[in-house]
Amino acid sequence: MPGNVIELRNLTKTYCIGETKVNALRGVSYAITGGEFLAVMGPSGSGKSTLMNILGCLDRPSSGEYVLDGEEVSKFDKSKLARVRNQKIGFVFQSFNLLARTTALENTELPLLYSTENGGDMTARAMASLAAVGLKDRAHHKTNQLSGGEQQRVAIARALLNNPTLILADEPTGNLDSTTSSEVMNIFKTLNEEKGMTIIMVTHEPDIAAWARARIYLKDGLIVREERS
Amino acid sequence: MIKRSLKHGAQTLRIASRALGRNKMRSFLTALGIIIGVGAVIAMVSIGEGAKRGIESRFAAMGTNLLFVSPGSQSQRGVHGGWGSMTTLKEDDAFAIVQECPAVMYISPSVSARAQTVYGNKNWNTSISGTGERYPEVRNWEVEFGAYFDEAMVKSAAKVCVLGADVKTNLFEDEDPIGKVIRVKKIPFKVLGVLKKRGESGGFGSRDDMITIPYTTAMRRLQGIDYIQSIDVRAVSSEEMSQAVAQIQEVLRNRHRIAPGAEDDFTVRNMSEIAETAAEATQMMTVLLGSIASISLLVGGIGIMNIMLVSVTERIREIGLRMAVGAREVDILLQFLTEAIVLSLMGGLIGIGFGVGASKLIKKIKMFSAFNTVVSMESVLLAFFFAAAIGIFFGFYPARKASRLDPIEALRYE
Repeated sequence: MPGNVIELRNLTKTYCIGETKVNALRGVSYAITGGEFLAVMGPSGSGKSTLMNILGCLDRPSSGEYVLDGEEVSKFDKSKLARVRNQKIGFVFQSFNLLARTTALENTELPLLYSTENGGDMTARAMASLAAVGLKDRAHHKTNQLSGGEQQRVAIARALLNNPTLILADEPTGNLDSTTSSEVMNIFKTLNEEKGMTIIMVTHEPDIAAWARARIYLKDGLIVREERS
Repeated sequence: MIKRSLKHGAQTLRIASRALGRNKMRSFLTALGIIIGVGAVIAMVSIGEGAKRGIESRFAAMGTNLLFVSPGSQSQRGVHGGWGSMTTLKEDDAFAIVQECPAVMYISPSVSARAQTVYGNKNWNTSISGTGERYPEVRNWEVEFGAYFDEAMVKSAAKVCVLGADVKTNLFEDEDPIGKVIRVKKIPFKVLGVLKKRGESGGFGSRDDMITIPYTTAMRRLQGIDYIQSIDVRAVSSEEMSQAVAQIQEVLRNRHRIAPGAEDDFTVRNMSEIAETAAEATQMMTVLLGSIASISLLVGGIGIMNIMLVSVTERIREIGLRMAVGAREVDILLQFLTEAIVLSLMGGLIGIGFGVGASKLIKKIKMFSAFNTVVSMESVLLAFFFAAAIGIFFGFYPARKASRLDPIEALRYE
């Protein structure tokens, strides 16, 4: 088993809304090993979105350390964080966030456009990624010709493209019915089990969280409970 | 390094053109402002340029060693008399000039009028130029058919005329006019010849719409005057122009008994000076037309900024997503800037086609037949680079706005 992919040490995040200070995170420490499939749960306002934003390098903590893949990224500047997001993190959002009027293939290629490494044949890599989510034959369909489940699978293919260290899924089944939710969760499960991808998923649906190997519960900016199946 | 930034540039261009391609109709309408702007600049400048070239060629055809002597100083105690407004210039002055000035080769006294010319059942209003027998040599204008009137005919104030090409066409169509008789103010004139066609020139109508008759005939039989309106003078060469002017001044001052120190009662004007003044005037016109058209280019630029701002707002989530998958601020900035520049350059290119087409069309349309348009390379380049600059200038603000978005808020934007 590989060592810790993520180490969080005493992370805090404080927002100033006008005069009042809001403590969204109040000292979170946690370590995640490679190949983990973790569900983050908690009521709204518990700080799970803030935690996800920091894990996704979209935001920086007010204090504490965040080590991702051996790098202390919490002090990185904006453009370094952009590089980290491009190379090491794949995002999957609740609302898919695909480009409209654009083919599945072009949507999948998107991270490569901002990649500085010479990735070889863009199209071939995107096709491989689409094949991994079972959408190879849909590559040239435009976003509006795809069903909700297919759109989310394109989003997963996009997240996989740069072979990231970590996949972050924010309520990935929030906009899907239960049948397609299972399809999508199956893809995550396969990626985790067969390819050893590290996946962190935010959800508030217990039956979706049950797909993960481990669950942590947040409340008022702290991890209050941890369970493992 | 260069290879990498080239690759990066190509990628940015690719992202931008994909984004524009996703909204073709809007992209086209946005570019339309630039298309019209660039087209208008090129078309307007081509009209000005055409007028300038027309004037230049008209003056070049007359030659640079041409002088005009007209009565009345240009400023007499602040009062400006028009050409021919004074009656001090006589026939004998003209003869004296050609006899006493060694730098002068030919002269042709001039008396002109407008009148109706009649032949059979056709008639035509045209200008009647009374000239000397050396007019073709002085004006560098050949007789195409027939002959010009000679000295004897001038002396006897013969009722003869030579037709400009337009008058020949209007009165005679395909008929041979030589030896026929036309009537000017009811006086019969025998047609001796037809002058060679000189063609239209920018903004000044046709030079071929005139007939010439001996100036003596014009004075005595048409106008009933004993003075001449001006004298056309051809100097021996263009190098001896200033000597010619000095000699003419001396001769005329003597003949008109003007005391030393007093002002001349005549003006000697140099053809090349007149040409320069005219060229300046048309240059002014070109600049004026160009500036008015540039305003539409500016309006087009504002259109681009407007649409880019709308586009940024509309695509906030897309921007958030691009940031999430690794776009840096500078990538977003460059993408939106490139979109604006691509829009204005496409508009610029189509606009050039449009402008060149429009100036060709202006040439063809009968109503504008006085305008001879010339599209100059400078105006094309100027309009194109101006369009590119507008893209950068008006694209920058929306692009910067997009690049400054916070990815978290952008992703959540509804």
